[in-house]
Amino acid sequence: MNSIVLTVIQILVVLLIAPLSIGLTRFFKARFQGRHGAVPWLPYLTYATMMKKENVISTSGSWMLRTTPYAVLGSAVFLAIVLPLVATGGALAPSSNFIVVAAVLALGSAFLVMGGLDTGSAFGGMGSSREMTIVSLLEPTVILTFAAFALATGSSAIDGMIAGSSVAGELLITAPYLLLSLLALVLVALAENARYPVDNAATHLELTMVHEAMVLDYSGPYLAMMEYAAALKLTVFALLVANFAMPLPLIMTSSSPLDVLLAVGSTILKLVIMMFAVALLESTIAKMRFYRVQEFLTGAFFMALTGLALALLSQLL
Amino acid sequence: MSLTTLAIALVISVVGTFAAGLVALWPDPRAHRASNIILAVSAAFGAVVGIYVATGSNVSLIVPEALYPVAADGSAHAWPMFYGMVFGLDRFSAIFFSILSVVTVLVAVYAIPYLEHYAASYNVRSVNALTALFIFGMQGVLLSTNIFGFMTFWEIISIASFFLVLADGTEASRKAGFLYLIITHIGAGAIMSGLFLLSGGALLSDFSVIALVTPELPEVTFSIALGLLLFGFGSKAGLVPFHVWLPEAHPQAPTHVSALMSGVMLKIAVYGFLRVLLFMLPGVPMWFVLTIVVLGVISAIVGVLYAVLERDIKRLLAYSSIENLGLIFTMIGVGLLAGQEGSVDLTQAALYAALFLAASHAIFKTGLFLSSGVIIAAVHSRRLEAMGGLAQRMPMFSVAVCVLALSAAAMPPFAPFMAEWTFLQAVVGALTEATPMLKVALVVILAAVGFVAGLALFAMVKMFAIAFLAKPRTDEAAAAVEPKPGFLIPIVVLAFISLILGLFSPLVLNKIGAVDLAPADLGTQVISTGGGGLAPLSLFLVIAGISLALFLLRRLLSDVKFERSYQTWDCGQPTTPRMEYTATAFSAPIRFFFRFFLRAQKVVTATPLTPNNPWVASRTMSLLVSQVWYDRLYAPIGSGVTRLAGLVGRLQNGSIQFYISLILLALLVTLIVAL
Amino acid sequence: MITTFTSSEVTTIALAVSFLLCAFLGSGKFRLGQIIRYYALQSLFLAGLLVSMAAYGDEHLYLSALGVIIFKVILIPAIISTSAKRSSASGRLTSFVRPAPSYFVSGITLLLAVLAGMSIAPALEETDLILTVTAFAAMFLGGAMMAVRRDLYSQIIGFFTLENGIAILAAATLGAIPLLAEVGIFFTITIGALLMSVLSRRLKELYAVEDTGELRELVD
Repeated sequence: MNSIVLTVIQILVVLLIAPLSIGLTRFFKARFQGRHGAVPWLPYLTYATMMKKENVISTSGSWMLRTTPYAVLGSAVFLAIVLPLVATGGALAPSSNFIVVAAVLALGSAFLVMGGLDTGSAFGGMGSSREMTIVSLLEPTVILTFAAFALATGSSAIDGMIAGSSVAGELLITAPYLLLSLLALVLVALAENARYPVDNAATHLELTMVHEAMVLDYSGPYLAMMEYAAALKLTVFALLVANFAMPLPLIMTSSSPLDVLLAVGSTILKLVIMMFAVALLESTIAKMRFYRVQEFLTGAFFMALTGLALALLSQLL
Repeated sequence: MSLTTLAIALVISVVGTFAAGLVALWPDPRAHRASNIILAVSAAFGAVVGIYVATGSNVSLIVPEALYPVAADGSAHAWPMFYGMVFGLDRFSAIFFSILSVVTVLVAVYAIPYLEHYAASYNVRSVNALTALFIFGMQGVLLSTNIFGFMTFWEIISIASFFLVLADGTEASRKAGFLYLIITHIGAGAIMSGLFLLSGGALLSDFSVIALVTPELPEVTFSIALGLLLFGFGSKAGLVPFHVWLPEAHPQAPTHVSALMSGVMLKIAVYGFLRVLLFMLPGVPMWFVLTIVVLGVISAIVGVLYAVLERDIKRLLAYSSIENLGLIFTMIGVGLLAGQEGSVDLTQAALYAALFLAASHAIFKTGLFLSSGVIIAAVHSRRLEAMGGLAQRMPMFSVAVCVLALSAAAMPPFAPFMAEWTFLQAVVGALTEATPMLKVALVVILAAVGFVAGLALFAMVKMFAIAFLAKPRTDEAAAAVEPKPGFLIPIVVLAFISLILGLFSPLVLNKIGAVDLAPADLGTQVISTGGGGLAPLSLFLVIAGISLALFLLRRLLSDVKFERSYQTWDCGQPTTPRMEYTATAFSAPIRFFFRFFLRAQKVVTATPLTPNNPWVASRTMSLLVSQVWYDRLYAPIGSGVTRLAGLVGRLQNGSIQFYISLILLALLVTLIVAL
Repeated sequence: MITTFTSSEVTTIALAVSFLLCAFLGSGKFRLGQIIRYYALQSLFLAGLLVSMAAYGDEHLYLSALGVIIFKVILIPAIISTSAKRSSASGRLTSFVRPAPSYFVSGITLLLAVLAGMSIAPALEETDLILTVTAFAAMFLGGAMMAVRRDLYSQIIGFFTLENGIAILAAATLGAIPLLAEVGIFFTITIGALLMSVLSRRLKELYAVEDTGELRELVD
């Protein structure tokens, strides 16, 4: 199959199932809390409704307020297209160099932060300040984590890191020393997606908001874009971590239509499993106070550093 | 273009700069414009020459030779009036010469409205003349091929910039200027001593002659010379702990001069350092390379941390310069280290990444300083807390500054990202086959550069957001309007150059000599190193394509006209611009997370206003961030020197006879002992 | 070891010794008129030295001897004494040490000068050695006079004695200084004498200061 076809299939699948991730998380959390919970596909209806609502623009905003939703959603879509989530060997695979990915992630966060500050309210400023701290201090961790993967697989494109074997997800089996790096990646994913213990996506109290504070003043289509971007990022990270850890098939250029169906099905399965894990995590541990997030970030950094050191050591043996 | 044409253009460029300086001194009010226009035109000539020589493969331009081809008796070289020194460009200095010239063109255009705006604060004639002299000095340094010329023009740079720092005559400028003068002169002395030691004491040595002499130097002399040169060039470039003059001097100079100092003068220091290291020395000991790396990493980290904390926009940019220069030195150090440990790919990639970062830093830092000049002119304050709301009032300007700020933060698709990408990718690629010591060093550097990149983004987002977004925090900011074309055009051009340089970085890298990093043909524009590849243009097209698609989709799926303006949600209470986040608040988490290093102190003083009610008080809060090298390094040295001077002062009892006897004693001792 | 001297060498040595004697004696006198006269005598012997050296061959040393007589023997003492009389300076000069110990000091200075001359000795022949020693002695005596005495006019004379010593050293080692340089030097010291006298007179008239001990502190 053509690599362009692979990319198109991946775009379609990921963009379509993205709201499902948020819905599934909320559904599982509700069940854990003993509530009935909304149906997992509620976010689809929510975003559709929001697109039709009135767009209220803050008077203190400038062109930045209007650019932010596009920039944030654009960076999330870029990740969805480029990373090996459903298919490996897509047309844009060379662009999935890990340094580029880290930079585009940071770019998206930078625009999110600037959009939050443009509203001129203290909520926005507070959320932006916290988010910027987390993103800045997470940058070395991201680079070190992926550097360890790059060393182990010999490829600096994330696509290449996963495509190393015929069945994706065998990475941990072939290289068990990468467990620490994978754990660091999980921590990075939690921090980037505003999940426990760094942030609570369900709250609107100023003491506890980070991501929610920055999107507080958006409404209508812009809010839909921002929320969808958050869901997309969550999906992307969930699938990425799953592809490193779970031996379930991905589409490749050599796949037949049956393989494509199998891969799509396994994608949904991966998503359900990962969202279940996230919900379990959020129901079990408490969110950290922001000033203790330093410990979280330091822990992730040293985990990534040790993972890289282990990868280097294992090459000597 | 023939060599003669190039030589003539080069001579026009240099003479034009000097002439601009002379024209500036004319008492006519039109002299200001005339001087800057002459400066811009001659710099344009210089840019053409510089780019041509830098991108040609075998061009080496020696000025007397090119103008007077060798006569039959071989006597036409060198101008005897200059002690037989030759001046010329080779490929390496041409890179820096083109950076200097391009920046000068734009700064000269900016200076016309800028000095007209500030005609009351500065003596415009002397500022223009000194700026021209400053640029002339920098051109001279790049064109010199021997010690005497190099040091003469180096001193011209130092003295001209000293007077420029003093230009507005305030107390703060005087103090900053003197600190700058002291450190730059000690540094110049160190460079001169180092070069003397290397050349074995010959003042008029050509650099090529020194290259022949250095392999035979004794070990101790060589090491001392290296230490002196590192101190000299490092203090000029702003390496910690010799950087203390940078955050004081750069903000005090007129803005276009700050742009020149930060954008180009620091690169001249890098040029001098690399000229010695790569072209004059046979090889350097391991301790020296490690020192460069350590100092570079420390400078980058310290620079970015203090940039994050800074609330004065020009000091923030000065610290950001320290950070970028630290990164450049780190890359140079890693390149040398890799060369010594046998990873040749990493050497080439690291050194070219350093050069490319130097070039891109010159572009964006100049742009940012020029924009800070516009902002300060509008808001009449350098504090970030007095700005705000400028994006609504100066839309085109704010877009250009946003582009420059994102470049400064090393974001794709702009040029500095390409340089950092090259470096990081090459490091990762070299990890597999590196020697153990190199592996450890590379891992540490990977972590450090990642850390610095993250915080650099923080500092730039803070600067842009607090200055431009939300509502204006003061009345002056509320009254701001889009700046005049004379201010706006140079900044927009610089932002554009930063983008183009990034998009076409493979081509540029190939043309300046990194043939292993990037191919020459325009079809495959990829930088490939260390096992990875980056195609900047296609990356940009992908991002642009996605944005366009989203733009169209939104129009399809929702009604664009269904919109309303309303104030920000405020819980039902009226909000004022004072309630917006300030720069101090925005950087508070970083202050907190790094409190052990930064030791920021908040002092709140409350003075009661009425005698019976202590709660009605006027409160002052000061936030003091101490700097460890002031307390541990500079203050003890300063007090030691003062104490020594006091001791020597006891000798001065006022009696002439005592002084004369001392002189006679010295004479006697000299005659008996020395002769 | 007794070496034979030619008659010209004898004259040179005699003149040098007389020069030294004047300098030595002058360092112990405490009246202004006397010091000035001893200085004039010194300069006369200097002129004689130059004439005797001129006899060897350098014709223009006659001219410089003439210059010495005009400037140092006649003009400068006239300037200094006129200025002193105009400001009615005290004829009694003050010093840190009394007359007798001051001769002692001068003697020590002479010894030190001989020592200095000896340290350069290996390179020189007899007459040149004596001339060099004389030069050093004059320099140190002049310097000692400046160091030991307190009043302004002694400082001036001491300075000129120093200058005489330098002139002898130049004549002994170089043989002949270019005429232009010599003329320049003469004019310089004349102006110097004028300036110093004017300064001393001013200090006496405006501030009633004669003693350098009162010139210890800087004031705005």
